Amino acid sequence: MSGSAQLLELPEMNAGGWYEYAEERGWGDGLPTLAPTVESVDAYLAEAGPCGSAVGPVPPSGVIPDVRSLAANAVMAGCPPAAFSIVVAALRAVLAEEFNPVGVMATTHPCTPLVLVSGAARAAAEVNARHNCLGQGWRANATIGRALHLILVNLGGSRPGNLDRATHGSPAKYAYCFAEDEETSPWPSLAVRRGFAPGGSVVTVFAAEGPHNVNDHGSTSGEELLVTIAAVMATPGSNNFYFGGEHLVVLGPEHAATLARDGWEVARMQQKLHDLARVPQAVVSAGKQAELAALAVEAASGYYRMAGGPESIQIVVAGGAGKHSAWVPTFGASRCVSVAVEGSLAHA
Amino acid sequence: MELELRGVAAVTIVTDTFRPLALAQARSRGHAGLALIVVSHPVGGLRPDELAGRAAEAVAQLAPAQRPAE
Repeated sequence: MSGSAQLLELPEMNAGGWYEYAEERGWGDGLPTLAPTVESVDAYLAEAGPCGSAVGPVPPSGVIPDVRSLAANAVMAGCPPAAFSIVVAALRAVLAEEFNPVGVMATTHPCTPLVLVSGAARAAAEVNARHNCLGQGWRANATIGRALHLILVNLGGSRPGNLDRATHGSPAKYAYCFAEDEETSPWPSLAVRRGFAPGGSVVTVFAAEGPHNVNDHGSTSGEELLVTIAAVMATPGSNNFYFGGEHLVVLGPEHAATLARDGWEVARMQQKLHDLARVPQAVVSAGKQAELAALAVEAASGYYRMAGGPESIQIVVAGGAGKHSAWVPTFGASRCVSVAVEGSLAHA
Repeated sequence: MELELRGVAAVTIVTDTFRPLALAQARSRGHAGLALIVVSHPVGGLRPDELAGRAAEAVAQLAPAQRPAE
């Protein structure tokens, strides 16, 4: 990688002192970080091994990061060295033009990069795909997402109220990472459906809002479940309503099993959700209807369809037992990006 | 900004809230001298009379020769 990390001479301080020192300079996310000393970064990189090809520049600052700068942020986040090549891959995906990194990091919308891990790297880096996979309590999930966010803040300069203009933001901006449960899924993984070889390590990033729950304990057929999921997706307050962009539907394993039992395949689920996810014109204000008309978005037979075609609805399986799935809306002015994990986890 | 970088004279209009972001973007794209017209935030969700006020703010910042004819 190009660029060169800047070494700083700091006074002697303990862990608490470092936390105060870093926070005063805006080098963090509000939670405690570990001090990225020369020794800790060197040891981290030695343990992490090869981590993949060059990345950068990181917007909005345009800084081209040195691998030591990336590792320093991973150390600060508490990210295990075994997961570092996932962080680097996620950054490479975020910096792709179609992801629109400047817009994602600067927008008033509460989106943030969601890191979805597929393939062999999930086990090697111990990324959780099951119970509470979008919640707390699992180091790889918490710190891969956090490391990526710290890189974007500390190197890209995307700080709240300054270059990060989010109106409210989201708790997901601290850390947002999970894995597909490919072993439980009745269907090929998202990575395979996007053209990658089965088993290869792949990271897909979405400019995502936090997850919206889909509770359905009552439906007993796949078709009924799709009615409920589509109803959750059909909201005029979502960017996906008129901007397009992907929806990510995270099917819990029990909902997935019901859908698979009833013969649903991914393409047919995408089409059905697209057909069912309609917003009644009556719940859209006159002003918003005028805005939509200016964007050539028109209602038909009293309903608006969600923008974006069936292929914009991405479906994966993850989570633990329970009659819940999740709908993850996105920024809209961004497209999800998948990249192969390189380096030590490429074929873990 | 893209027009300016292609040699086409252009002025970027931003709200005061987004001025720091516009300046950072201009710097990162090697265009630190980007001309900005700064109007009060927000521009979205305004009544027509309020929007006319924003337009007046913008026009007042143009050089006289650039202003539309009265």
